[in-house]
Amino acid sequence: MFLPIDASGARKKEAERARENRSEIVKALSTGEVSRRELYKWGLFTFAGALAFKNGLSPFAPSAFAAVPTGTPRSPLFGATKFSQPMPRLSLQTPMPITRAANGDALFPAATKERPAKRLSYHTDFTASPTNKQFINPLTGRGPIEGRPPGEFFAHQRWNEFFPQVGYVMSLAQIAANTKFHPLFPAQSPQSVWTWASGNVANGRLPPFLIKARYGEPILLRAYNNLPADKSLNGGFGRNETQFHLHNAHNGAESDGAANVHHFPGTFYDYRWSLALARRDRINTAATDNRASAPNGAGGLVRVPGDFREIQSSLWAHDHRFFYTAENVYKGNVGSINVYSGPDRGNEKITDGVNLRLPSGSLLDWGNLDFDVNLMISDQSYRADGQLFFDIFDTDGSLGDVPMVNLAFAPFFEVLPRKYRFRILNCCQARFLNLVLANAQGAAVPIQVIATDGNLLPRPVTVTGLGDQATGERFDIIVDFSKFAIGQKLRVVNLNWHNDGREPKMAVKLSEALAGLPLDPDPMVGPILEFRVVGQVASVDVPGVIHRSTTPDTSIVPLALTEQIPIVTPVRTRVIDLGRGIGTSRGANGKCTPDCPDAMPFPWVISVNGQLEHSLNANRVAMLVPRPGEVEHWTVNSSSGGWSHPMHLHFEEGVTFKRTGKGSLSVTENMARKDVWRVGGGSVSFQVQFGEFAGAYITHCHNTAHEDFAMAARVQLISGIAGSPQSTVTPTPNPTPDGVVFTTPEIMAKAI
Amino acid sequence: METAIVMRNFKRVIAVSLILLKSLLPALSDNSHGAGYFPNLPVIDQDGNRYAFYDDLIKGKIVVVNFIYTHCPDLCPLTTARMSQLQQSLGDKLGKDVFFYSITVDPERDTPAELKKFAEAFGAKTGWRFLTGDPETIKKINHSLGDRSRNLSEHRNEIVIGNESTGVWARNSLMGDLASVEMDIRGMDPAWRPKSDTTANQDLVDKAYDSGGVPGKAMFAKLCAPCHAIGGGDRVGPDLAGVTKRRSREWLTEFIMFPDRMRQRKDPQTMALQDKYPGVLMPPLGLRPEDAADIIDYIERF
Repeated sequence: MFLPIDASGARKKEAERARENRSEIVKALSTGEVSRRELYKWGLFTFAGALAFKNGLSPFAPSAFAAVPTGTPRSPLFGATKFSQPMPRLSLQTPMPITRAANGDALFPAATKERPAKRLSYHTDFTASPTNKQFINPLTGRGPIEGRPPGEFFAHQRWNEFFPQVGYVMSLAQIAANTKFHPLFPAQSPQSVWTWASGNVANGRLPPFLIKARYGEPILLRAYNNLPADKSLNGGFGRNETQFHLHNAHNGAESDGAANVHHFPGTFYDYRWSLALARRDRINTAATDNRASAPNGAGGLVRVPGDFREIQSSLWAHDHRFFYTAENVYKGNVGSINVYSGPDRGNEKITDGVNLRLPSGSLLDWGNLDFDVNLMISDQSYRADGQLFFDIFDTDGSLGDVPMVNLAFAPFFEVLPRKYRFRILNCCQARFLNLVLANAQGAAVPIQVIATDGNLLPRPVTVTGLGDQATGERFDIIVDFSKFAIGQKLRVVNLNWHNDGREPKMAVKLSEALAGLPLDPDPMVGPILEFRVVGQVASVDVPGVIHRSTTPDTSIVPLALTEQIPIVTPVRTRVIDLGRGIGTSRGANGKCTPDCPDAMPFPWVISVNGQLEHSLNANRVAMLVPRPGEVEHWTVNSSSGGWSHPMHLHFEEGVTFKRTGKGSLSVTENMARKDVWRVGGGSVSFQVQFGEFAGAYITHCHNTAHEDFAMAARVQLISGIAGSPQSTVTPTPNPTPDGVVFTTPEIMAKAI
Repeated sequence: METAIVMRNFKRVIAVSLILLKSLLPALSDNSHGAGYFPNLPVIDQDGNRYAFYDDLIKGKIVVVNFIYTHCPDLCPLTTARMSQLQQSLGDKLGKDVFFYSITVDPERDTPAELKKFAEAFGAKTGWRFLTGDPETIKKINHSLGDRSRNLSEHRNEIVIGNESTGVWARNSLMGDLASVEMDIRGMDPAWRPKSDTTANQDLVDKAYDSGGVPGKAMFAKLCAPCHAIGGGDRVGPDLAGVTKRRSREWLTEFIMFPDRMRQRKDPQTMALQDKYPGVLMPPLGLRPEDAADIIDYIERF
């Protein structure tokens, strides 16, 4: 389907012709010589730029070599070139103080005019008094005002213990007028892009938001859905319903945003993010360890119960509306959350034996961002008119051809000649990134990896490239720009070439990526972000302050960042096979019958403790019931070739200790705590332990289209606390515009 | 060569279009998944009825689409059986307000007659059409609905649910909770309202979860019941009442785990079953010996 580098001259010519043909059509379209409708009629176009099954025009015809892997014509860039706009910093949200009412409700500041947040959902009130207007969705006049399901199952767990101290009110809404991904691009229409903004407001904003959180300070996020009630006003993709998932934070299932609890336009959902340090019920319960702590805002620490080795840092949040995740996230339903702790404080000056003093800044007590920078990397594609494009019928995993950082087209970022921390998130839909930092001579610059998936590594690892990075995976890295003179430019380069959303075709050489591949088969290969070393930068932490290159860099990168959680003998082992089940047509001699190549994979075959328990192989109903505090070893196996899956486990991280088959443990994943694992052509094993909260969670493939393809299994955590709702199986909530309807989950036999 | 011809035609048509078509056609909404998006090409159903795909089958309708092929050795029989459970729960809405289309991904082999056998095996009623047609046509239609597989075993397993008149299209899985799928389908009608009961029936949930010492029960409900009853007569496949007396445990175990292997070696009892229940194959479900044992134990209780 795509042109190999060593393609023959004839094939190259054919490809060139195909490209010309495509550009002729695009030109004819843009100049109005021909309408889309006519193209549809002739069978040349399918939808908004997807060319039909014509040789020389389409990626789906056997020899359409010039097609970019998006399956659509190359996105128009309207004359914009890379590195011609500054990189936007994420939009930092301001917390509001929350106070406790006598009845235990959580009160927002009076000026917000927000009703109090409560342990039980307002849906509970609606169910009790369905005609009481104050509990009815004011936009539609139908259904409850809050999307959180009614009753004890979806009450905030341990409400008093993790009573919210700070609050945020945010809205998911149509993008504000005149918002562009680059000054030369056309403004996105309100139907094309849906993002979050502060307050209960009518319009979403870019860049995406950032929330700074710290341990021991629970957050109440009131998330309004202010999208239009008419589902069809979506620019061809995206659902006006959302559940907001704080990826791998340690929260009750009711606040995980992934329990099939999406809510509708006109309603809100109160998420309580506990900011509880994991293992707090078992380790350091008296909060005596200084390393298990959070900054107090005045140079000191507040100790919290829990295991300091479980500290998290770089998290992100995104839509998790089942069957629509891919398109909703792509449409802008995404943000970042940095979690701060005593060791990982976001202050590079305070010396107290606990603070790691990682590059960040020192103007604020904690959470300095001047030298600690979030990079959300994604790919987009556009229709001929420049509006965001997504093919809702693509099930392989969509690819874009336009590189974005913090949802801005290939920007530049000015840095001082000193150390910086970058929190790199892959929020593409299906793409595996492979990033290298190249200097002006085109050579790879060594970087230090300090955290994977938001978990500090015991020791920094120095690499010259990050290797494969799947959707949802994060790398926190340190780059030392002090070796570069002012005026120098460095570039972040993506090496991974994709032909489709299944897995990367190959990683090209850095020199090839910089020079550009022949015929440019995948425009996401090449530089995507430029660093410019400058003499002064303006502070974002304290506006008005200017940092200069002459100011000494007070940050350090310690040799030890945290301690290793050891691998121990598990209470239980589980094997999750993503590939074919055993019921294929393979004969006793292991050979394929004629049926064999056509055997359908059963996406989930799960065994517990060898094969003593049942294999559970039905999508979305496979149920795993880990017990709090019991150490388990999970092996995820994907033997089928041709696909790579980024597997994501909600709620807890795992210590990665083994790989078999294709590929070995990389230096950045060996013994690293992670929540997304790449599997394909082999297996990966990790150690995991659950605790503190319970309810219905999931584990799934984070290729957002695969996840929508039901590569997801319920993980039902049972609290073991008699009388608590989480001591039994959660009924399945089914949100409707008129309220949540519960059904009995179709679940398999009891499996531990 | 083909490229050159297409492009010559394309250029000619552009020239003509400039004169003929400009301003004659209304502007098409870019958001539309309607006319112009879905091919309006000829298809034929299991009864030999011919339709223009968009005009006759999609336009103005609420539809549920899945992709099958009658030679499918494993997953299609199960998903089709679950479609037939949905057919039952939708009752008389099917064929009136909601239409099911099972489109083949193997049009060369799936003639209307083959599809008829398949449809009958699953008890398809009037509102459920099994569609085939010219291979290129079927490829285009399936592509428009998201089946872009390169070989049969890769075909799309999800269902597509849509309401052309509102422009709302959704994905879902037949392997998830059917009650949820049913609600999704009914919800495609903007006038639909759920029953007002919003309380969880924890007893039911606990009962489903607690296998009561009969671990095969839930597995039977999920994997076997779509096609088989225990008492009450044949459905898609034979009634399993007394099957543990008619067949040996070894035979049953192998048949539950590896029916394809038994077909391949032409096991006489398997071949007899195939003759008696034409149009449908017992699928291998990826079960392990422990699973088969539990299912047999469960059937034996009746």
